Amino acid sequence: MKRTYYPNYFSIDDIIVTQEKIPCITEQELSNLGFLDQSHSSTDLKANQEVQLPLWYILQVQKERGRNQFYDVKIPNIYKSTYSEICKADATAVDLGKLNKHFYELGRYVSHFDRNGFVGRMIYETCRSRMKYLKDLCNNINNEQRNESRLDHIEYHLFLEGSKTNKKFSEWLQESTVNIKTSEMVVNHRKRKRALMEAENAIAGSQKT
Amino acid sequence: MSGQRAFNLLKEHQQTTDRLISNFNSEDLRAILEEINIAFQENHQDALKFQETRDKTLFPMIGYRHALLQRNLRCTLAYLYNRLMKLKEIRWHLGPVITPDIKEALTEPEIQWFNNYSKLLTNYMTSFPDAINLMTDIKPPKALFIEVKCLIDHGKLELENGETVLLQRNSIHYLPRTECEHLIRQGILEHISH
Repeated sequence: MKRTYYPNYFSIDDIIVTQEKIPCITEQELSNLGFLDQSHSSTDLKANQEVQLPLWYILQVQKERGRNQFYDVKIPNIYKSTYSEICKADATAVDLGKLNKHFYELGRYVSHFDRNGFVGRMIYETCRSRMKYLKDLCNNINNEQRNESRLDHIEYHLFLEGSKTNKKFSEWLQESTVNIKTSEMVVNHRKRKRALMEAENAIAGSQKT
Repeated sequence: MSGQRAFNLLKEHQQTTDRLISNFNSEDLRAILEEINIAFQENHQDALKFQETRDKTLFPMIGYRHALLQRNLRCTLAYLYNRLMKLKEIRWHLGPVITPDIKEALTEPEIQWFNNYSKLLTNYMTSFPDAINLMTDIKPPKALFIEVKCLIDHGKLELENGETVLLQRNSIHYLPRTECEHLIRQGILEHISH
């Protein structure tokens, strides 16, 4: 399926990003919402209590009330100054995938809550300095190394797409003949079928003996 | 009351890699619909209560339930929609016939949707004077005839000029490209290059 950068309503990626939990401080007492904070068993949330809330909830509250009077949204640690110092020093050394699989997308949402405009600048700079490194990775076609944990989700897909394009380009340069290939989907489908058949045979075999 | 169930449903769809499409999870879907209904009922009651008492402390909870309802709705619709998109992909890769193992993962409306989509596509392709087949020539053609190797016993193939070819395993044939391209895409033949 085509991925568009701007998340649409049905985008699974965007739904996964908005599932992320963000630290918040309550600004007033909120009755009956005690279950949101699992460490306390009280029925109400008290004022000035710290609580982790899913992003989708915060966005909805924000949308409805214009200015959010219930919660003060904090910036998650990974976008705070310590990490940004590392990113500034050498962004390519950071395993973004380990910090958060959706570093950029989450950052885009978080930057709305950041009054200093700090997060926005940080993700922009990080992305900018990592791009060249990503391009180098793509150029190395024989690179079998799994980069998944090092890269953010978007970067990873850019990497896959990039190395595929590079491979096609080098094939074209070598003027290799255009071969019609079995579609990838069929290949995967068949693999599964074979595994299933083998399993069935094994069961039948064991029953005979 | 956390929307986790709906989210898991979507994750299950996305993480299915060992097969083309995951089984339709009607059990979870029903539970989520129930969750939505309960949230709506409770909000309705709280809204009535607010009209009587003007009690502002009800607001946060109503807000949360509303958000939860919207979230569950979004996850559920995304689940259904993305399944259909997957089916669309299957139509383009595997052709108009669904194999039994895919079929058992689908619901009746989904099968109907697939058939309708398939029909639309065929109608579109036959609406041209020469009945264009969009599934062919995915890569630029270079020769009219190509050499192919048969990977499995497929049986007889009748060509447009009336000749019949017996497609036996490991046999090699020299066939018109247009007539065997779809068989290669389905993995029955293999294109041999020199």
